[in-house]
Amino acid sequence: MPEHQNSSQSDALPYLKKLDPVLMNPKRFMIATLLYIFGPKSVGDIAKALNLSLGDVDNHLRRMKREGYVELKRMPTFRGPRVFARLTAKGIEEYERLVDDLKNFASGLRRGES
Amino acid sequence: MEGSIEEIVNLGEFAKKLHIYFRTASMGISFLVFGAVFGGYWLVIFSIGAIYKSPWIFIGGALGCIPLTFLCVFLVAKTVPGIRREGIPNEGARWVASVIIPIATAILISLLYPEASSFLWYGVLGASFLLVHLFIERLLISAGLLNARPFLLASILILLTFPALFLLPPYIASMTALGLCLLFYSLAGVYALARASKLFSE
Repeated sequence: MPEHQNSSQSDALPYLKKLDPVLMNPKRFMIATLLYIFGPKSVGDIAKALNLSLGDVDNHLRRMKREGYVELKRMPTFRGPRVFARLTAKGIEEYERLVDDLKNFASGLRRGES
Repeated sequence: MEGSIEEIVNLGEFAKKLHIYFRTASMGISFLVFGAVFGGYWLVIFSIGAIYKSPWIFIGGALGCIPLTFLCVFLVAKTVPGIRREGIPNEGARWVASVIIPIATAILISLLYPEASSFLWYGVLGASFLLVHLFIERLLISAGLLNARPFLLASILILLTFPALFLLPPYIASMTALGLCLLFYSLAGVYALARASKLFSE
């Protein structure tokens, strides 16, 4: 690996660590992306769409709920009651902020390399 | 590492576009669904009203609009994902105000000009759409959540054609209003869908 790439990575790590710890997790980021695009989804649908286990989705949703990023609500459906997850206003705001931060960061990295 | 961050950014940007796409598309589909369902419904009510000539048919028809609205919302929610989204402050009150103000005005006008009451609903609809644009649509656009102005388009077309109805006999005027309404609903719906799809071609 070239030396300048090593140094840019070591500069990048502290910055990345400062970013949203809830959404800077691949599975939680994907869950947030899914909810951001499609709106409220049942836990089962999230697991199916992202190819994750129900337990995994449940754990991540609980963490996101604790931080105020999602709301969980049990709702009646034709196939019986289901728990639906929905991004809160805070969740939407933090998601958009993270994408913008990463965008600025990636363009900064590109500028640093050129 | 730069590559994977780039991929996350691309995914996030794509998600943002899809977010606006679904909101705009749901508006377009709403116009098509509401137009088709309410247009068909009122054609049936007008036909029954023409046979029996009772004002109760129209009063019953107006009351039937309440469950029909819920049915349309259900149908739109079934076709477009994520219709229940974050809104703007007091969105419910804004919708109610956009409907109540024109209806109250229409009741006053129909007391003064009873001959216009058969097609006054058309003007009320145009005014209502204009208020929806001012109270809701405009805010959604400025917040970057919507990419089209179907309510403004429909309201302009309806309000521009409304005065011409006064030149027609009442029954013909009401049928013409219904036809124009269906036409403008379709135009507004297709316009919103076209604007939504432009998000991915700009």
